[in-house]
Amino acid sequence: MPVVRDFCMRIRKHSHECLVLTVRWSLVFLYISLSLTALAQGDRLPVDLDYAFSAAKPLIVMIAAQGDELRNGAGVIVGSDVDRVYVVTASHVVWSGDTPISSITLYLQGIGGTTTSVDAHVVQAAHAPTYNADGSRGLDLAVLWFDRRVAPFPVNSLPFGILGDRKQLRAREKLYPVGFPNGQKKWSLSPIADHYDSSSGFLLLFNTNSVTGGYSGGPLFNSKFQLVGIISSDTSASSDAIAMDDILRSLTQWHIPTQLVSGEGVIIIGDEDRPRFPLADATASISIWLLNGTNPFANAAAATPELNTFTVDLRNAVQAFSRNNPSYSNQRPRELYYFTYTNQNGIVVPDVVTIYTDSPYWPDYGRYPAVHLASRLQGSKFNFYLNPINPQNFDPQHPGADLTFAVGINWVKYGALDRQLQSEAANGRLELEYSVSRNTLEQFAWMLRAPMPGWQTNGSISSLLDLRGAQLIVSTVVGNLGGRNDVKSDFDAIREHSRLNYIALSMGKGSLKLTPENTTEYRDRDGNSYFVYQFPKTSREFLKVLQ
Amino acid sequence: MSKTCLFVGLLCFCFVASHFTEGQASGNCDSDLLKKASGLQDKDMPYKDRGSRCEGVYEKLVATSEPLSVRSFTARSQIANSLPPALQLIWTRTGLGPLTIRGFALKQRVYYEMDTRIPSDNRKFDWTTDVLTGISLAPGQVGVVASFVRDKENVVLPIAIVPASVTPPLAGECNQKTYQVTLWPERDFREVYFSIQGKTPGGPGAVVLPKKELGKGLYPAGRAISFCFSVPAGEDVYDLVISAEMTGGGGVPIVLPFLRAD
Repeated sequence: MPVVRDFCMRIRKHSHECLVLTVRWSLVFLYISLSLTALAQGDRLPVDLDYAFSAAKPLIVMIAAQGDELRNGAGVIVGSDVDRVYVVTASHVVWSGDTPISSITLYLQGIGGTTTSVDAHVVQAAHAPTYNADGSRGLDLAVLWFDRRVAPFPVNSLPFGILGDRKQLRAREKLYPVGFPNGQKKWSLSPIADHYDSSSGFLLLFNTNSVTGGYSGGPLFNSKFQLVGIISSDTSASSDAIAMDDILRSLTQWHIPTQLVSGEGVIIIGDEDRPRFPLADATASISIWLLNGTNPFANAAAATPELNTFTVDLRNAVQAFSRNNPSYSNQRPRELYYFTYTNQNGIVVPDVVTIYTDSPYWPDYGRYPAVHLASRLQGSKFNFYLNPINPQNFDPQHPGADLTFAVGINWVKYGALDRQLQSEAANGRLELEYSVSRNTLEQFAWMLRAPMPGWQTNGSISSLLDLRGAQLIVSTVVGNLGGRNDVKSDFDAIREHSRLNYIALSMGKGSLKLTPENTTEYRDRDGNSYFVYQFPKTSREFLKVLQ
Repeated sequence: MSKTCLFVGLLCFCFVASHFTEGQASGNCDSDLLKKASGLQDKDMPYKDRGSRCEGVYEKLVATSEPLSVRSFTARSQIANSLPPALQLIWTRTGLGPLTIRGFALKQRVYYEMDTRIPSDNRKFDWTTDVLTGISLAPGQVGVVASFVRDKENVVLPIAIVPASVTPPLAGECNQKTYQVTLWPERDFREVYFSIQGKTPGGPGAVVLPKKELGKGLYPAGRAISFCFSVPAGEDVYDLVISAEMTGGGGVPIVLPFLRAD
């Protein structure tokens, strides 16, 4: 444990609060400032597959076509005009031979993850049959439209920039088919497919075990989660999709307006790599807080009462939740929130954020509809840093910080704290109760896990932020009660639960340990130490660090 | 002159012969499946005319359609652990007119069908298993449904599958009263029920087997659902009534008339 020792000694040296070699940080407060670096810098960061999928979901619709029989498939929104929104799908989903099916319902994902059904109609002139008259394979393409006024989202803000290039596909490249297996109204991202084969004209062949009824018309994404095809059929040997370039060519011929444009894509952390919910050893959660236009250090004295603790033992609470919700898993229901912010150039930028709706910690989430948060965010003026944040932004005298992501500001109210401590005494556990503000964005949460009492803490990052060039600030505000000495003894009790020796972050298979060697120490105006870790500015360097 | 006649005659013969062959092929083959197999290579065992039957695999268009279908309805099966070079489909009932026999795969992602039409008086059909072996189907993964038309209605004739090498006596071979039905779900089902009732010219007859729940609680898509039953002597034609509840809500009813095997 030399690293721990060094780190502890460093804290001891500057804060005079580490009394023994095995430091107990009675209060740890992580503070993140993120800069959204310019996306044009080159290749993209690793992101969670769920995030990439969530971002693309609004483009993906489920189709129920009721002819002689009910057919279910999927479709992809490709564009719109003044009155209509256009969707492409496989012909065999909505055409019965040479006849279009007249009763078609689309299920769209609206703001907040709600599902809305709308009536749709076939564009009769835009149709390529599944099989040509000579029996050969046709393009199997159809176009639907629905009334733009009933769209449950602002159409122009849909993520149309996801188009990929089939020429860039590599053999054995990971592909991601999306559909509605067995006609269930549930978006499904299949396990990874591969064995891509480009030798079949307009068909992209890929190998998967999961494409089944309900995938027709669904999108096929490449390894960067760029749209490369529309799924059509399956055989024992392979599944196939119609290549997007052939589809776009037909759409142009048919004068269907398309807004799909090439997207940069993302590097995906495999689903299997995603940090799992630490059910067995859930000990603490650190949440990131959006501080609107506030530099928390600028008013540190006032802020510290609310910035004092975040560490609670959630094991019992989580286990109880798990008992009551046996189906709970990491595949958790979530809502996709759209919001805009104004960047420092005055440009309004749309963005999305996901909020889990079944948090065992904060069940209040479910009561706050997406629109509420979206409007709150839209009503605020968030100016993200476009360049790496300079530590001087955290200088209380420096007015430049106009948006801060703060980590670890779980809002423990002292009244509630008293009750928690009483609860702990009575039940042998410390419960969070009503201590976290409702607007916490768990999407940005970091999960700290303490598998043993000695707190060798592992942290796993479950956020999907663009961390290139960002700075992670670890601040140890030891024993800062903000003048509330009346609760000091209770506070000390809390400190017993919050000993932290070092912080390890994991992203997918990679991990990153914060040590004195790779952090720089600064002080806030109260003399408390905080340590800054500078994330690499490029994906390549970033990936190296994670290895 | 005589050469011209010979040439014309030969042409006529060729035309008639080819037409007859084509007629046979189209009689056995499902034209839709032929299209769906047109892009497959021979090594994939595509669905095509194979003499006595049309057989092979095809590509499945992956829109959901029929949520539950009957993929096998047999009187008895004697197939061992591995497929013999040939199977025999046998039955005892005759005078029913042409039988339509269909073979299906009871295996996920194997889109396979065998189609043939033969007179019921033949009482057997020899089925070479080269295609079944070629697509690696095990004996238990093959389903067969034979049917004929009576009063404009398709009626199932439960037939037996036996190895061709062990030719059993035909008489009485299908006298056993146990029938096996295999369903193929394209969606997830919560429960499946079936009952048997007699069938009379005027409509449904008496219930001979009350509604029975299979009782497994979950029937995932792409996994065969099998059940067996016997019927008491008496009626000649029965209705197999199947009702199934989907996990997401909704139900699927199937009413399938069938003839006693013996």
